Amino acid sequence: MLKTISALTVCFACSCLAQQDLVVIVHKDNPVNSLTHKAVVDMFMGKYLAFPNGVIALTCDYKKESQIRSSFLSAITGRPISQINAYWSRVRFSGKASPPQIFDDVVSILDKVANTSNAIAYVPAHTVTHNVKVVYKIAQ
Amino acid sequence: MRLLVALLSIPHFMADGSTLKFDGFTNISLSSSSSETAKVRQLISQPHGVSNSNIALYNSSLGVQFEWQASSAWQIVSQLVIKDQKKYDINTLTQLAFVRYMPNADWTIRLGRTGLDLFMMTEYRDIGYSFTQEHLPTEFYAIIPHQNIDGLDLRYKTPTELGLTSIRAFIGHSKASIVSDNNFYWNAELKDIAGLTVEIENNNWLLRANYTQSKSGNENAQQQMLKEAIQHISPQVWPSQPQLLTSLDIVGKRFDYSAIGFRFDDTNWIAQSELSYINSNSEVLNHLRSYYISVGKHIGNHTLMASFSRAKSNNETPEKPLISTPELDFIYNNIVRHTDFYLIDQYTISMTWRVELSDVSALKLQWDHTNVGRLPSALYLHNHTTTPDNQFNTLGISLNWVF
Repeated sequence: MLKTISALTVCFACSCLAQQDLVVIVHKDNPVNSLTHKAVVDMFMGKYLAFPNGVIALTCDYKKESQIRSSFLSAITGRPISQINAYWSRVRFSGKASPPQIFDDVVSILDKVANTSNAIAYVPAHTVTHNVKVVYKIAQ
Repeated sequence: MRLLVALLSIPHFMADGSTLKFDGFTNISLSSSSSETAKVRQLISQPHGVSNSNIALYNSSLGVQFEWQASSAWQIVSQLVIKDQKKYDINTLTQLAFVRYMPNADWTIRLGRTGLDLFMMTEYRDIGYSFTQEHLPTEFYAIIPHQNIDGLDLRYKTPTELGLTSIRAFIGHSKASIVSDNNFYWNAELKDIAGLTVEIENNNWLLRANYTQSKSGNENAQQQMLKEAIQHISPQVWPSQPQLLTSLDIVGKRFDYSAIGFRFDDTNWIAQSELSYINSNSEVLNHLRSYYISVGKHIGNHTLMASFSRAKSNNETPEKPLISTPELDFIYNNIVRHTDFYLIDQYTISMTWRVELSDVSALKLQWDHTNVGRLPSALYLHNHTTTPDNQFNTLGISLNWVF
């Protein structure tokens, strides 16, 4: 019951995404405390998948049609989502890099990051729990 | 039964933290050309082309890709592509099939069938949604039938002061079909491929250089017949006979590919150019120089682009025998047809309009004006006409999407 209420709250929050801040999160025990804008772009565009300490990063993302994904990727790259999807189609279908793991919703993402030491993802700021750590923030 | 077992196993793999991904792409492409002589195609592997203002779907393609991510270090990738080609079997349909291992963020090792990293867009030339043009510049890309390589590649990628710098080395062999007039078909093999690609990526810029060397691994039936035919002709009758015999012996001949290029792409402008030099010690394709430059402007959901592409080879028509007989003339004409196959001298001016229909689909329209120094050409198939039309227009419209 509690999980259902939590999921509904997150869904409602996501529908109001345009007014929400987005934050990049990692596992709470990850020694990295902050990331540069360039590092965030490199990781979520599949260019360089490592934390500053050299540990390989497991990027988590939402489905192509997700509004959170469009808002986040457009915000960090300054490009429309169609250009970003064209870029990803080059990377993915040439087999040069592995795309992020895809999750259905914010709850699943939070659960994955809370339980994976090298995971990295982004969620609306107000959904952050004590099991994850914020390392980058985007003001909408 | 095996499929069922595999499918039943997927939830287990997923439970282990691994994921199985399925993606794909589609291009529905209509094209038409005003040429009465050249049947216009986009790759010398294609058995069909358009001419005489006919409209056809020959440049369409459909691809699916499976990727099993066993962990953040291990992945298995497989890609199947259906497009216009001479033979359809699991080998020719499989574009990618490799295991990728990333021990850390800097190093990547891939083993199996990977994309052949010759030019900037070779690896994703089938995915129309990936690039702005309706089709890749014919003068630059159509001549290389090989798109993948069976072998091993190793990439080192790290942030530097110049930007993200990657060095990729690859070895292996590759087979691809070359199709021409009169049912000519050659499953051409490149063996002992060894290549090195250096890329520097910084913000909106990408700089790239590649050098690849290889050897021809086989010959076609026509070459064998011509060699046998001229073997018994005396050099006193045909002084260039020894050189012709050597040049027709293509197995083991060296084919080297060099290319440099750049790409700039920001929210307003896109520009891209590449120069290539193909060098061989075979008379079949001696030297080929080609380049293209494209400049485009993003305007909201629309992109307008202008391109110019050029290719020129230095193949020479062999000298005639000193005497003329019906048999010698027949052999000579066949040799000329063979050595002139790669006699290329042409350019194309293109205008492209691309509009994004959604976040994952785009409509593209492109007009090409081509000026061909000589027909027939390796780049096209041909109708038999007495007066080849050396200038023609081609129109392409395509719907491209990814899923």
